[in-house]
Amino acid sequence: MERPAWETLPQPLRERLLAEKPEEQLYEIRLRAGRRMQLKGRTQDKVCGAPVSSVQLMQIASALMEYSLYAWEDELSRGYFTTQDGFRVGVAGRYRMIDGEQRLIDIHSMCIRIAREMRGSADAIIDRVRKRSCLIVSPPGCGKTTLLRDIARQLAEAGQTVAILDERCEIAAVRQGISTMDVGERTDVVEGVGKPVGLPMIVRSLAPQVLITDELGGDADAAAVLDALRCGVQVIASAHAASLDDAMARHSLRSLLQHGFDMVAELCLPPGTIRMVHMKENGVWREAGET
Amino acid sequence: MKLLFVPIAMAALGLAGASLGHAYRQRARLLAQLVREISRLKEQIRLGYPLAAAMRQTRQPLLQEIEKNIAPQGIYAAWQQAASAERFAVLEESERQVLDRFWRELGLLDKHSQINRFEEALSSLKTLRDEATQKAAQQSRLYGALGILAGLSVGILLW
Repeated sequence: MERPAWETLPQPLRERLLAEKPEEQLYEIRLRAGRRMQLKGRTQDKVCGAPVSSVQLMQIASALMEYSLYAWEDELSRGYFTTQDGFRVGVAGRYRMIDGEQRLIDIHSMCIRIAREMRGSADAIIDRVRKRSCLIVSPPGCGKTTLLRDIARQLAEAGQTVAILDERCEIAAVRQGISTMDVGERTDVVEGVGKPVGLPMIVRSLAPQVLITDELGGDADAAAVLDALRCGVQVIASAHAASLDDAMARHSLRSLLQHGFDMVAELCLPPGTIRMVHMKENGVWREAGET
Repeated sequence: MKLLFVPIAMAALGLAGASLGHAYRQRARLLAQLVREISRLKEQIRLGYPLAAAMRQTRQPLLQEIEKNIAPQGIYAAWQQAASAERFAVLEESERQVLDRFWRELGLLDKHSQINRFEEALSSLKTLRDEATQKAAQQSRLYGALGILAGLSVGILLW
């Protein structure tokens, strides 16, 4: 059996998971103060174990943050942090304005998303992606980051120079300078910087053929991507949207779909399922079929 | 025979006195090492590295030893483990209190507060180090002189 990705989690949490013996690969672990642990896999969704106390929750959070709260305070103020293994941990709690900045002062619950490599998850679309700029869309938890990771690996293995702008440090999960996720040998990773600053920097300094980035958000992100596309770099990115139509309805993505990307892949549950691929021909989007 | 014994007694008791002063010098050296290592750690923390990575990057022996024991009990337990070594026995209670408070709060605060705690701990430790250095010099001289005098007294009594 494949070694579970959660085995690298810190001891207090790993012990709880070992006691539960999950039958399949976990996608998400949710911990709430005073409640039992929720485990989500490809098919299972169960609550189990003893309730997690507030103190235990804080101990687990502290261990996940490598006992270094100060290192994640900016991320925490935005509601998440990323562990050294590339697991993104969403946090819910109480925020307060301190010196004009929004600061998280108490954690009530956490959603730990288990990062994984799924080699071959991009096989169905990789031939189409090779020469096109592509936007991958789906609701949260459908495997956008996992798919981007495999696309990066496959393009790099095919000989293309790839650069990843890993704003939340979860695509490549770099530790001590080395990617813990396989994103290919011809891949450079820039971490922790926003797209408006990072994308022009990468285009200028790393001269990539393909630029990969996760979760496009506002207008500034869209403008930075359009600029990179105009520089002749192929861009593969992801964004939250249930479908191409929903993406079109998002202001920041509309201009990208009109003037930038020429392919859209829609993902759905269970994670990693490519529901539909759309291609743009002569400015018109057409369904290119299910994969 | 007696003439030979006097310098031997003076040298032996002088050395005994110097070795009593040695504990004071050891304490001053340990405090100086702590000040040096914690200062280096502060610079890494300022850059935003998580504790384990920050400690590794300082390349300081004590911090590297503590870093190896951070998982699974946390930083404070790792410090306590390191501080249970015999060479830490020379520290006085006031010094232990400063260090305990510093390590207990390390990693649990936001960056601004964490850096403030570094400044406070370093300021206290530097004062304690200077006092210990001064005391070590005084005590070494005192015990050395007392040893020589004792040796001389023994020689006179035996004459």
